[in-house]
Amino acid sequence: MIYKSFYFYSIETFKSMCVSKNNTFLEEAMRIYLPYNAFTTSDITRLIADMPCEKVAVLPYINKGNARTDFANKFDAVCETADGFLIENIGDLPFLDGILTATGTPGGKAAGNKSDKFLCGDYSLNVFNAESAAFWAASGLNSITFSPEPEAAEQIRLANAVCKLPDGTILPEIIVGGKVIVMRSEHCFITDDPKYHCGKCGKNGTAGYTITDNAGNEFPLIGLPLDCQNLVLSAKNIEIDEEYVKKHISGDCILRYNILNDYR
Amino acid sequence: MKKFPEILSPAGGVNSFKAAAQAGADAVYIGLPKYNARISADNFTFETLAECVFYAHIRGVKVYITLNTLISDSEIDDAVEMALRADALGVDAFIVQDIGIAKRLYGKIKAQLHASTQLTVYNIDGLKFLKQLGFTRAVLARELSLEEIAEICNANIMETEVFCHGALCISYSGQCMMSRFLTGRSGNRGTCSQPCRLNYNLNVPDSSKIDNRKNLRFSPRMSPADLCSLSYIEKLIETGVDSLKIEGRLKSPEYTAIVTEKYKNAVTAVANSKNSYEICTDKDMAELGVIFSRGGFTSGHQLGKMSLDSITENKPGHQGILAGKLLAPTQKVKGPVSIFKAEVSLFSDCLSQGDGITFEGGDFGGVINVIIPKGNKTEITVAGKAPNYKEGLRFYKNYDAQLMKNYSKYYAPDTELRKVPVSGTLQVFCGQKCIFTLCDNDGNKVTTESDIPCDFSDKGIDIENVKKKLSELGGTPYNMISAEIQTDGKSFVPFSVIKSLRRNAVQNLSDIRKGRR
Repeated sequence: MIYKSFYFYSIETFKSMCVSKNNTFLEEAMRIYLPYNAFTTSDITRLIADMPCEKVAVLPYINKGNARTDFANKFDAVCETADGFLIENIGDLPFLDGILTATGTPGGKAAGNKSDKFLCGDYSLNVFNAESAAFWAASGLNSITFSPEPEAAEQIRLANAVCKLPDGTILPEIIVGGKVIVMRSEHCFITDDPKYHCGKCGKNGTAGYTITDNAGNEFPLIGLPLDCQNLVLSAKNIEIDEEYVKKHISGDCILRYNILNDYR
Repeated sequence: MKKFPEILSPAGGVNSFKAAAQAGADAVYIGLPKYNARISADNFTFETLAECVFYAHIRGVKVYITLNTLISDSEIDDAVEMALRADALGVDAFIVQDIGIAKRLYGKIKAQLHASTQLTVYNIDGLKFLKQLGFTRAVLARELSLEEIAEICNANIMETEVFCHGALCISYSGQCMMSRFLTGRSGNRGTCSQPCRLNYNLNVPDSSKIDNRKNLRFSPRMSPADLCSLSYIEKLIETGVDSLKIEGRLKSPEYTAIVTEKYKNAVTAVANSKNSYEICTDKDMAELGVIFSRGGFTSGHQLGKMSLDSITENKPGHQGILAGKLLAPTQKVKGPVSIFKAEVSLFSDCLSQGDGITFEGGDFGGVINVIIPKGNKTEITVAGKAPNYKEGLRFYKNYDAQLMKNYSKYYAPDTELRKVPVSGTLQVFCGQKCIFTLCDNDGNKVTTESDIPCDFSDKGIDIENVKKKLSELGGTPYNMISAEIQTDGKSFVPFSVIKSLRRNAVQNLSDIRKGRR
């Protein structure tokens, strides 16, 4: 069975897409991924409350420093409406276990929250082979997004292999559209001051900053203001034909579209 | 008891390997022809690997294999087989990125599993995760501050390793797909095309928000200077880290030798409570700068968030150290080869014939053929490409001929600069076989004995001469720090027997040392 998911880089993009498409696109979505902050934003939580699809909160892209603290502080609130979490780093599993140890007691609110949440693994976990996928399946992940580096045919082959894993089931997810994060940097490319501003420069979020190489490739930048970090996104969109995937996939698979600014 | 970290050096080929070992490395990391992050290095075959493991272990040096790329399903069996074969040769550890291969190797190899920086480990949680997969060490992300490193080390989950010198990536390692999506060559597969060293424009949605327009220009804005922690090595050691890693498998053997020696000496000096000015001198920094630097060095994020100054402004490649400036237009020297004369002002007495220079602003410069002091100016004759004249145009020394010559000896055949201390005891008693015992500082002990008993001699043996003979270990990796003779004063054994006992003991000790892990 083929499912569809949508990954939103920003709350603003999600909201504008909901408005422009009148939520109809979500009818085809099995799952949406939203920044964790979306789940503490009242207009978003109202918007998604009755949506039938799964709502997954994306953990911090670089889970340390202020971002880590911010997520931990908002964890309980996120759990009110999120159905699951998308982990970005190998340390995120122990991290989530640690939050529950700190905030929850058996039968308590946070522990109770976890029991009905599922975990997904993002492509930043670099799953390139079935053995890695099997490891994450055994670790309890619901789904795993493959690294977008291999060609489409290889990702489909891997998805078929994952479907047959003896160690346990994990849903494979292939990114078929949109941009991916090609760099996660502790350095800020946006700041124009010799001393960085710790998020005070005002140049954050998906505010239209890009870098261009001499061939004209334009890479969107996303500022992470809590720790003055940057994400660099791919210049070109990934474009894998859905029908091609459907034709060659033999088991269950999620096809993911990453949404930055618009939806084609 | 305070611990001091090992120095872990890079080796892209056999010469670099020898240079690292001779310069004082405690461990050397290398790659086999496949599945390592520097595919374009010479790397090692199983034959050269076996030789190098023996060479290293005899000298008390560990060998780590980089298996630090992502591996596909079609490759994983081959990668496992390669690892098992290397494991059988006695390597000490594998540095791994791919979770799948770690899972396959765990429990099947005698070597340790080290988590590559490509696994993007930047907090204690990451180490907790790795422990379940059997990793015994983690190479921490290069983006960590000293405080963050110390916090992770103090958690005592497993050994830790940090980079102390060499090239930095602008993206967290393991999270960069820029090269793959630009050129098809993946940094996670060992073929990074280094797009971070290219020029980029910054485009802003509202240019009125920009105060410093310089930041908008087309420049290598993603290219950081190389890391150098020598000037604050004591603070790095204080974090409790177990290993200091030098980046550079694609660099020259001389680079490996110089950088290894500097850091080894620095750690030794810290251990001996030397003053800061003895641990890192201006000469050290100049030599590090000339062997490879991109317009100076940076502390990266170790002393706090990396500033814009750490981004190489003009030249993302090797630049060297600032040497002087041009005082007048250059003059071409007639002849078939491109040679020019230049009148310059030198910033220090740092240039010699045979050195290389490069001018700012492009690929201009070359090798100095002649250097003539003329009062407060200097005239140099350079074989190379002359720059366009600009008043005060600066140039850098990017090659030091004497330095390269000095450090090339570290990988010359039969070089033994680094000796393993041993002590020996010879027993010479009349009517008994002559026994020689040789010990090293690692608890290994071998004993050899003569075929026939010692003869009687009323003069006994010449103890000083016998000690001298026992200590003649030139050409071996050993240095006799103490030789003891036990005798009854009336026994004799020929020098030929003593030499034979010594030779066999050395061989036996080497056999034990090279097989150890």
